[in-house]
Amino acid sequence: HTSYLNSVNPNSTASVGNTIPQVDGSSDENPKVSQEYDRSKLTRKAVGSPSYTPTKNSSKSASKRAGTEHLWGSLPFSRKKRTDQNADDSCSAMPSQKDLSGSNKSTAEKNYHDTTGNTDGESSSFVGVHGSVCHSVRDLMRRRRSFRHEQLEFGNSGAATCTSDKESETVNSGGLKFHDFTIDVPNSAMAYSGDECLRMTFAQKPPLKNHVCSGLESPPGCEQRECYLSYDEGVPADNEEARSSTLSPNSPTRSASEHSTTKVAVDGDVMESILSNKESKHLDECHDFSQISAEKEKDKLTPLSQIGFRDPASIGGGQQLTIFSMEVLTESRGELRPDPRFDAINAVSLAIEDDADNTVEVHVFIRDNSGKSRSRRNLDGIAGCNVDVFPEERDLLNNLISTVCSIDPDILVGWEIQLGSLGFLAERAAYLGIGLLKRISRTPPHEVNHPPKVPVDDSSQVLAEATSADDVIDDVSENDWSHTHASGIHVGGRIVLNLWRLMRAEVKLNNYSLEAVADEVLRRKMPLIPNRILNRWFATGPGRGRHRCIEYISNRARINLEIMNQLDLVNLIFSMVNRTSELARVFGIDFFSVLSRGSQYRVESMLLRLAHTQNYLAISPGNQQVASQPAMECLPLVMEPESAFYPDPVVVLDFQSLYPSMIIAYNLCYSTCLGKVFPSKSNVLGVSSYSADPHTLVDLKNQMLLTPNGVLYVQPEVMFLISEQYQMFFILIRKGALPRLLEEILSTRIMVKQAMKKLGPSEQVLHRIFNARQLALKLIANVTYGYTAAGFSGRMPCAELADSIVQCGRRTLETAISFVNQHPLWKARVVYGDTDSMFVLLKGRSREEAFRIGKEIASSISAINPDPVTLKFEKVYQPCFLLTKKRYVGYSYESPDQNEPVFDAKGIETVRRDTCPAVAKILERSIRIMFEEQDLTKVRSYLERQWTRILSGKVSIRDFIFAKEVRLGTYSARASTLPPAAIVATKAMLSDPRAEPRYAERVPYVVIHGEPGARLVDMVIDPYGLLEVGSPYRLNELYYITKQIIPALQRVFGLLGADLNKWFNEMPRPIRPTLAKRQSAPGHGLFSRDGSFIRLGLNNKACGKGGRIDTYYMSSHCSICSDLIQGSDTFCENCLKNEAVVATVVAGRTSKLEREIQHLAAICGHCGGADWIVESGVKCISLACPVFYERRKIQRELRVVSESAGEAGYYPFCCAELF
Amino acid sequence: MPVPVPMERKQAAYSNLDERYAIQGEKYQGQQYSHIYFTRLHHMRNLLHALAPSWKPQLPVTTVLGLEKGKDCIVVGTLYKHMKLKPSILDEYSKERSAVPLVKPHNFMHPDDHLILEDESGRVTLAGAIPPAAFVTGVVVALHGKETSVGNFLVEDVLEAGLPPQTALSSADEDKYVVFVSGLSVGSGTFNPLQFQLLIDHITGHLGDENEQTIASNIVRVVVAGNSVHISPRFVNGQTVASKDQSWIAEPIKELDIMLTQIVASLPVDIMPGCQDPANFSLPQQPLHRCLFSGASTYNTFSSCSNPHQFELDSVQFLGTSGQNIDDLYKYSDAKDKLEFMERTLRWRHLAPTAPNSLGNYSSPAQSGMPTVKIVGSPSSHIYLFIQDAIHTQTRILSLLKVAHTSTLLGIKINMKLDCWKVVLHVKLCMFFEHPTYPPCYPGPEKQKVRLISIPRFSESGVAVMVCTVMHDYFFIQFNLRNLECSTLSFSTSFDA
Repeated sequence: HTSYLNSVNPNSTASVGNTIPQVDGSSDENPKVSQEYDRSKLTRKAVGSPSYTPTKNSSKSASKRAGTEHLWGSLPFSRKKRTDQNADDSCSAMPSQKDLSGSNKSTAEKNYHDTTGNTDGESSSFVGVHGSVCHSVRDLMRRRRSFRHEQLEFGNSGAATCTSDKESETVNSGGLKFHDFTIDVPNSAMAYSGDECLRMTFAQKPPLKNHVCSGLESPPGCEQRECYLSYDEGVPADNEEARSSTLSPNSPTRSASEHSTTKVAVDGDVMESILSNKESKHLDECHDFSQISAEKEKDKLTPLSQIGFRDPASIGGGQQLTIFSMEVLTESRGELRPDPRFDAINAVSLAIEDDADNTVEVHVFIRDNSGKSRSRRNLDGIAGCNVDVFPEERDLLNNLISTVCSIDPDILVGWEIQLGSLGFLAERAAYLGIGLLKRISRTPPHEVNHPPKVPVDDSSQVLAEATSADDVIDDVSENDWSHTHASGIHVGGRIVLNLWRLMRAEVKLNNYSLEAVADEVLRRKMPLIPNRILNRWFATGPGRGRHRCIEYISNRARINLEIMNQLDLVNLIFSMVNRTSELARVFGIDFFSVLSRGSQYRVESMLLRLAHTQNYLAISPGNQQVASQPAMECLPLVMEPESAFYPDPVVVLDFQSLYPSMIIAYNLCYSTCLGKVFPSKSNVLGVSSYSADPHTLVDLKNQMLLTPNGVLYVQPEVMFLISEQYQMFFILIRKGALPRLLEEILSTRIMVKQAMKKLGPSEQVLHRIFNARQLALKLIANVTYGYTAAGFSGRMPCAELADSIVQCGRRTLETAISFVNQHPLWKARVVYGDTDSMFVLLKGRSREEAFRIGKEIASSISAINPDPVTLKFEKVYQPCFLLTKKRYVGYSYESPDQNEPVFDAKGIETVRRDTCPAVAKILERSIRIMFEEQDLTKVRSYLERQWTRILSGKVSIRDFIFAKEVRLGTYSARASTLPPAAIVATKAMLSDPRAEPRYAERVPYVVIHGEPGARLVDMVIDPYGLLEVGSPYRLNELYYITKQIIPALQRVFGLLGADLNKWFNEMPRPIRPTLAKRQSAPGHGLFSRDGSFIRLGLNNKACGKGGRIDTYYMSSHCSICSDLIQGSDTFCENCLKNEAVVATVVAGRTSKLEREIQHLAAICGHCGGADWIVESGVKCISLACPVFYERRKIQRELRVVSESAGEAGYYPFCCAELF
Repeated sequence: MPVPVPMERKQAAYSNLDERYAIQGEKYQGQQYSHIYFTRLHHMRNLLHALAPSWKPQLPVTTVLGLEKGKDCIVVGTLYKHMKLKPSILDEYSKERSAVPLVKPHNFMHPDDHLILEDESGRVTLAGAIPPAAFVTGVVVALHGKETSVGNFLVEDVLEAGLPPQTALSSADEDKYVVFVSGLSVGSGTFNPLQFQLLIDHITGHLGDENEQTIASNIVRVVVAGNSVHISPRFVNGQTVASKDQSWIAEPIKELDIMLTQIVASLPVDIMPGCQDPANFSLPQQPLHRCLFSGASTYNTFSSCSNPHQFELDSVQFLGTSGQNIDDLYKYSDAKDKLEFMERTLRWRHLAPTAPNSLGNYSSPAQSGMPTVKIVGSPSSHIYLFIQDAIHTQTRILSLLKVAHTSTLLGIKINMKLDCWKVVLHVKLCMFFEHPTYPPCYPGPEKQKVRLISIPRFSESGVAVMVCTVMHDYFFIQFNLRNLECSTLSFSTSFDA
C-alpha cells in the first residue's frame, strides 16, 4: 500500500506524466488540470463507434473530448489506426473555421443525446477521458510559458476538432476559477486516472497486488467527482456545457454513487477471474483488458494494476519494454534462397529480452518428424537455450504464436525481417493457412474471439484463417514506402523492427550484413554459413551436426539483441529502443513514427502544439497550392575554396545552429511575416494569399525588420499608441511561434544538459535518457528550417520565410567573412566558407597564435550579432588540403595542448563509400605521409610499393570490393544504364528470384579482367565468383589503379603539381609470381564449389566456357627460380642439378601453405564457422571477415602448389577438404 | 700400447611397421570426416562395452537417447569440448602472411568450458566428475552417471579404454641400445656442428675409452626424430628462389647428409620428418624425400620413415611421433607435464584424438590409420616417445620416465673443454637420482608396461636419449636395471680457460 501512496504523491505529477506521449498530441494540457474518466462508461461504449465521446462535464473547461475511441487509438500501434491517424493529421489537422464550428455543434448535439441516454440508463456520468500524458521535457517547456493552454485534439474518425476561438476565450476568462477548484480534486485520484490511461499502453503482466489496491482506492475517485460536480451547478458555464448540465442536473451525482458500488463489485470480479484464470492463456487477459469488446454480462473493468504506475524511464529504470528477436532456418533447394512457397521451416530461434532486468532468454523450436526425437529431453546438448521439438510445421507455428502471445513482447526484431525472420514465417504461415501476423498481434482478429486455448484443428478454423492469410500477403507487399524504408510488416500493437535497415543509420559500413555489423559494433566475428550447408547439418540429426544449426540461429537471434544493447553503451550512439523512446517522448509522436517518418513530421508535431497555445492555426494547403507558391530564390553561401595545400594553420569556425538562431534572433516566423515589400505576384505569401493591412504597417513602421530578401517581419516588441491623450503605450509581445519553439527547445536542451551534469555516476541509465533527449532536441532544432523550405513534399512550406532564413544566414556569414578579412590585427584571410562555417588562413602564424586569434574572431563575431547567434571556434587545421566545395582534409587540433593531430577528412574518398577500401586506404596513407613528411618523393615511393603489390596480386580482395546501394525499380528502363551493382543484383535474380536485393541494400561487386574492349558493365561480378577457389577470374588491377586510385589521388596531389599517371607509367611492372605451370582448370574435382555460395549462376557457365585465356597458356618460368624455360618443364635445368633444393622448396612451400590453412581453419573453428565432424572444412563465407579472404587466397595457392608438388612427387596430394 | 681388440657392433632384428602410415600416390576426394568419428566410436564402443561389466557390473549400458532422469547408467560416446573462450585470435592475426604464426600457441582453456557427450542418437552436456581441462574433443569414453533434472548428465566415474594388450618381451641377455635424437635443426642459429660431431663420434665408437666403446658397440640403431633441418621461411613463402640463394637451402641439407653418412656407415639410422622439415604438414607425415640425402641414402642402413614411426626391434615395439599430437593436446587441454599428455593418449587408446578436429590429418580411413592406430587391436608399443619442442633439463627427463618398473636412468654427459686450441674431451657418465620415487605407475588392464620418453631438442639441450632394449643388469650401476631403461647422452661445450 505504501508504494501506492508514494505513487500518488502530488509531487510526482511530473514524473507520472513522463510517459510515452500519445499520437495526437492531445496530452498537451495544463498539468494541474487533471483528467478523470469513467471506466464503466468506457466499457459501455459501442465497439468501433466513430463518434467522439462527448464532453459533458461542464466543469472541465479545458474540454477533453477523447472518448473510448481516442483512448483506444492511442493504445496499440495498430497499423490501420495509425495510417488513418496519419492521414488525418496531414489532411485535416487544420480544418477551416467553419468546419470547426460545425463539428462543435454536432458534438454538442451528441452530447445532449448521450446525456439524456445516460440519465435513464444505469450508466454513470461521463467525464472527458484524458491521460495527463505529458513529457517531462514538455513539462519544463510548459513551465516556461506564461500563458494558458488550450488544447488540440485529433480524433480517430477523421474530423479533427479544434477548440474554437470562442471556447478558448471562455477558457481564458474563466480559466482561473476552474483552475482553482480543480486543485481541490484529490491528488490521488488524479494520478490514478492518469495512470490508468497510461498503463493501457503497457498492458501486459498486471501484478495481482495492485488489484487489491485499486479496489480500495476507488471510492475517493467517486467522491472527487461528486465534489466537483456540485461545483458545476454553481459555476456559470458556457452555453453548450450549461445545457448539458442543466438537462441532467442530478444524474451525475446519482450515477456516480451507483457507480462506486458497481465498481467495487466488479473489481472483486476481476480479482476472482484473474485468480481462477491464472493458468489461462494471456490472450484472454488481453481480451479482458480491451474495454471495447466487453459485453454487458462480462463487464470487466480495466485491471487496476496500473495504479501506481510511474514511468520507470524518468527514474532511470529503462523503458520497460520486452524485445523479441526472431530468426529462422528454413529448407532450401540447392543454391537458391529459401522461398516460403516451397521451403519448410526447420527451426525458429527466439531471443527475448526484458528491458527491466536485461536477461536474455533463448528458445529454439525445431521441426523434426523423425520419431526418436520426440522424447522429452533435448538431444542437442546445447547449454543456455531451451529447445522444443515439434513434429509438424503447423505445430511449430502454433507454438510460436502462443509463445509470442504469452510473452507479449512490445518490439519484434529480426535482422532481415522481410525475407528472413518474421516475414518468412508470415509468408510460410500464410501458405499453410495460418494468419500468423494477425494472431500474434495485440488486436486479435474477431474469429479468435473465443479463447484460443480451445484446440484449433478444425477445418473451419483453417478456412477462416486462410482468408486472413491473404491479408498477410497483401500486408507484406502492399505498402511501398514502409516496405522500402521500414520493416514492411505490421503486427497490430507491436513494433516490428527491421534491424539491418536501422543499422544503416547507426553505423557507417560498406556492407550491412549481420556479420559486418556484429564485427563493427561488438568486435565479434560471426560466421555466415550457406543455407545449403546448414540444412545438411540439420539433416544429420541430433547426434551429429544439428546442434551447430541450432547454435548458429540462436546466436543470430541473440546477437540482434546484443547489437541493440551495445549501441546503447557506446557513448555517442544510443540504443535504438532507448533513444527512439526518448525521441518519441520529446516530439510527442509515437514510437514507430520516430523510426519510419521523416523530420517534418516531428517538427510539425511540436510546432502545432505550440501554435495552438498561441491561438494560431496552421494552414493546410493542397498540393496545387504548394506547387504554385513562388520559387525559392536564395541559396546558402558556399564558397569555392582556394584549392591548395596549406602548410600554415587554418582556423575553422562555425556558427552554432545558424538557422535556428536566425529564426530566434530576427523573429522569423509564419506568424510575424508581413509579406514582401515588392511581391512578385500581388497578395501572395508562400502558399496562401496575403496582403498586409496598410494601417497596421504604418503603425508598425518602426518595429519592422526587412530581411535581405525583401520580406518584412514584425519584431517581438511592438508599441501601439493607444491613447494620444494620455500618452499611453501598449507593449505587445508578438513573438513568432517558430522562434518561440526554437527558443524553448534550445533552452530546454541547456536545462537537460545541466541536469545531466548533476547526475551521479550511478545514474547511468538516466544519464543516457537525458542525453538522448538533448540530442533529440538538437535534432529537431536543426530541421526546423527544412520544414519551412520543403517545397515539394512539405505540408506547410513558405518560400519567403525559408528564403529569409537562408538569406539572413548568408548575410551573417558574409558579414563575418568581411569583418575577418578587414581586421587589421589578425591579417587573416577567409579561404573557404560553407553555409555556417568559415576557414580562416593565418599565414605565417604558429599554431598557438592560431588558437588565440581563432578565439578572438569567435568572440568578436558573436558580439556583433544579435543574441543567440554565436560563432564557435572549432579547430585548427595544420596542414590541410582544400580541394573543392565540401571536400577538404587536414590534420586537426582542437586544443592548443593537443600533440597528436586527428586526421580529419570531409567529402574525399577516405570517408566516402562509393569507392573500394583500397582507394580509401591508399589515399589516407599518402595524405598522411604528405602531412608528416611534406615530401612528394616519399609519397611516390609509397605509391609505387602499393601499385607493385596490387599488380603482383599480393592483396586481399576485401579491399577491392565495391558495395553500392541498389534501388531496383528506380532505374530507368534501359538496361545499359544500370549501375554495376544493379547489374550484379539483376544477374543474381535471374537464377534466384528471392535474391532480389532489399531496397537500398548495398550489393557488393568486383571488377575483373574481361575480354578486350569489354565495358565496365561486362566486367563486374559478385565477389563470390572471384573468391571461389577454382574461379577463372582475375581481379582487374589496372582498372582499380588507373580508374579508381589514381584519379582520387590526382585530385589531391595534383594541387602540388604531381602527375600520378606519369608516375604509374614510369614504374617498372612486377612479374606475377606463377607457382604452377598451368592455372588450374576451373571446376576441377568435386570440391571446387565446395563451401562457396554463389549468388550468380556464373559458375557453371564459366566452367563450360573454360574461363579465361590464361587457362590455355602455360607458364614459361621455372617455378623455383623463375628463369625462362621450355614450355612443358616445371623446373629449369639449373635447379634440377640440385634436386635437394627443389624438393625442399616445393615441399616447404606446400607445407607452409598447408600449415597456414590449418591455422586459419583453427581460427574459424573458434568463431564457429568450421566443423570437422559432419562436413569437413570451413564453411563460413562471411564477406565481412578478413579471414575468409585470406583463406580463399591460401586455398587457391595451396591448390596450385600442391598439385604441381604432387605431380613432381615431392609431396602427397593434399586433402581435398582444404580447398 | 695394446692393440685394441676389434669390437663388433651388435645386431638386432628390425622390422618397420610404417605401412599403415603410408599415403600411396592417390588423390583424396573429399571424404567425410564423420567416417573417422564414426569408425572410432564404433571400435571404441565395442571395447568399452566389453570392459563395462567388469567395471561397474550392476549398471545398464545405454545410449544418449535412452537416458532416464535420475537413473544410474553407463553411456559410451565421443566427447566434444565446448570451449567458451574465444581467444581474440584475430587480433593476433597478422595483416600479412608473415613468418610469425597467426595464433600464438598459448593454452586456450577456460574455466567455463564444458564437455558434451555425443553418440549417434544425440548429445548431452556433462557435469560432475569429469574435468573439462583433462579432456579434448574426439576422445571416446564410457561414463557412469545419471541425468539431472536440467537435462545434464552428472558424471560419477569415467572409464577409458586403457592400454591394448601387449606381446611378451623376449628375454635376450645382451645389452642393446637405441639412440634417439631430435631437433638437430641443422642450419639454424642454435645448431652446433661440434656438438653433433661429438655425438656421432660417440655413437660410432670413435670416442672414449674401452668402456664407453663397449657401450657404443651395443647401440643397434639411431632414430633421428624430426626437425632435422632448418630452412629459412623466406625461401618457402612462395617467392622465387634465385640461383644465388639456393645455396642457403642446399648447405644445411648437405651438412646433415654428411653427418648422417658418418652414422649410417656404421649402424642403421631411421629419420623421421618433423613439423619444420620439408615434408607434408598433415599427419601422417610421409618420409623425407631420398634426394635430400644423396650420400646417406646410398647405404642400406639408412631408412627414411613416416612421422608416426612404428618399428619392432627384437620383439620390442616402438612407436613415436614428432610431437604434433601432443602439442595439439597441449593447446586444448591441461596437464602437469607433457608426459601426462602422452599417458592420456595411451589411456584413451588413441594417438591423436584431436585429429581431425584441430590437428590436420589425411582423412581416408582406409589409408591413413592415423586416428585409428591405437584402437584396431594392435598390441601396444613398449616404448612410446615423442619429440618435445622445448628444451628441458635432464631432471625433466628423469620425470619423463614412468614405467611399471622402479627404474633408474643413466645419463651420459660429455663435457668439452677448449684449452689453448686443444680440445680435451671428458666423457662422463652421470647418474640422476633426483626423483628416486616415481609417481604410481600406470598399469594397463593386463599389466602392460610402456615407457614414455620425451626427447628434448638436441640443438638446444645437447641431449640424446639411449634406450636399452633388453633386461639386463647394467654393470656399473648398483641397482638392478630392468629392461627398457633409458639413458641420456648429453653433449655440451664449455669454454673455460
